[in-house]
Amino acid sequence: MSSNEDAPQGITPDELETRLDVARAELLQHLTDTSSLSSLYESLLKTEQADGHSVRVASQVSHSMNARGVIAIRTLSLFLCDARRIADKLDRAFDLSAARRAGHAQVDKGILSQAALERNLTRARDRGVADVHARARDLNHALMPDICFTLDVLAPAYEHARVLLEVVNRVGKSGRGVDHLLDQALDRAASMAKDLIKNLDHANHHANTLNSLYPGQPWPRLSELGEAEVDASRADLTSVEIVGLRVLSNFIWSDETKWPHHLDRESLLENSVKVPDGMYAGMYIVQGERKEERINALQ
Amino acid sequence: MHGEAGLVNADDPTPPLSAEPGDTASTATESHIRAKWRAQFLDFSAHAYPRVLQFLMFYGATRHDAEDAAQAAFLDAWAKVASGDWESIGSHFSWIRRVALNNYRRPKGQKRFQPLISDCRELPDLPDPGADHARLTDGTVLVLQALASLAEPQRAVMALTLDQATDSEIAKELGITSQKVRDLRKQAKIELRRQLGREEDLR
Repeated sequence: MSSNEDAPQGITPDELETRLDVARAELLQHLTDTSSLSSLYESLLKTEQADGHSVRVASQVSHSMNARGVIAIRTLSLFLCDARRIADKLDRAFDLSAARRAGHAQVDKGILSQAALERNLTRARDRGVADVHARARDLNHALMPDICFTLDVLAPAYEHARVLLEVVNRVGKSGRGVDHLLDQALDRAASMAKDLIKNLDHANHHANTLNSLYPGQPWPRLSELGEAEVDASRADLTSVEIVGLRVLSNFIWSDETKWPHHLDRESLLENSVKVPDGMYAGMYIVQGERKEERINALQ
Repeated sequence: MHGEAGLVNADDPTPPLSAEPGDTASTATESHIRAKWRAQFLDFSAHAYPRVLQFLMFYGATRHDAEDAAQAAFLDAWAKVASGDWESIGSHFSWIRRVALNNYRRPKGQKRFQPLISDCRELPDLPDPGADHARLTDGTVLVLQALASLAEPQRAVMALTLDQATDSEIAKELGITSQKVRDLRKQAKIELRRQLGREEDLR
C-alpha cells in the first residue's frame, strides 16, 4: 500500500478509465470477429454424438447432491466469510504503517500532537505489536479470497490463528499497564483470535464432511452447487447441525421431513411459505431471496 | 424419483443421471423442453463465448489458453443442458465464467497454469503479437499486460469489473464484502496508472 502511494501516480484516473474502455471495446470486437463458434458447436455436437459417458459423469455431482451436502457447503461458507472478516480486521488493527498514517491525519486536524503520536507508536513497537501484525497478516493472506480458493488452506490457517493467539497473549502480558488503549486492543485481539480458532475449527469440520461427500470437488464448484434448491421433503436431517435458517433457504420440506431437535420448528414455519399447487402442493419452501419466483416455478 | 430437473433430492444420493427415452409418459414433453434449452444455449454461446474469452484475457490468459479453458467450460455447460440441470443455474453467464476461470487455473486438480507474477514492478516485454493480435492496437496490448501483472485478488476484481460485474456480484464471487471489492479495485487502479504511465514515459 504505502509503496503504491509513495510511487509516481502515472496517468490520470480519467486517462486510465478511457484506456480501459477502449481496450474492452477493442478486445471484445476483435474476439467476436475472430472467434470460431463453428468449432465450438462442432465440439458440443461431438460430445452429444459420443456415448454420453463424459456428459453423464459431469452432471453426476449436481444430481447426487443431497440436503446434508448443501447444508455443509452453506455453513462452511458462513464460517469462512466470518473468518475472513475477523482476519482482515486484525490485520488492519495492528498495521503500524496504517496507524501512522491515521495518526498524521489526527495531527493535521490538531486532535493529536506529533509527540504523542511518536510516543504511542514507539510504545506499540516496543511491545512487539509488529510481531502481532506479521502473524495477523500471514493469517489474512492464507484466507485471502481467490476465485480458485481451495479448502486445503483451512488447516494451515488454523495453525496461523493458533500462533497468532500465542503471540497476542505474550505481547498482551509484557509491558501491561503503560498504555491502556493498547492493552484493550490486545485484549480484543485475543478474544477475536479465539473466535477465529473456533470458527476455523468448525470450518474444517464441515470441509471434512464435504471431502467425504464429494471427494476432489473444487470449492468454486461446491459453492455453485450450494446455491441449488433442495427437495428435502422426505429427508432425515436429525443428525445435521443447522446453524441458522439462512442455510435452509429454498429448501422444500414437508411434514415427513425429520429435523434436528435443536431446530425451532415454529420459527421454520414462520419463515416458510406453503406451495399451493403443482407437484409440491401442500409442502413448504423456506423463504429465500427469490421466494415468489421459486413458488411460481414449482407450480 | 420425487424431484424434477434442477432440484436436489435429499433422500436419493445417486438418482438416475438423465431420463431415458420411454422412461416416463412425459418423455415427449421433456424432449421438447430439452430442445428448447439446447436452442437457447446455442444463442447464449454466440454472445457469451467471446465475453468469456475477453474475461480470461483480462485475467491474464493468452488467447490460446483462454480458448482451451472456455471450450471446456462450454462443454461442461452443454452436459448440464443435456441432463436438464442448466435451467436450475441462476446466472448462466456467471456460472460459465467461473467454470472457465477454474479450468484455466486448475483444470484437473492441478495448477496447469501457475498464478502470474504478483509483484511485478516492470511491464514485461511486448510479446510477438502474431496474426492473432493483428487487429489489436499497442494500447490494448499494454493494458492487457498491465492487468496481467496485478496481484491476485486485485487482478480478479479488475477482470470482473471490466466484465461489467457489479460490486455485489464480485463480492459474492470472491467471498468478500463490497467494501473490500472497492478497496481492491482502488489499489489495482493505482498500480495500473503507475504502470501505464511508466510505459508511456518510455515511449
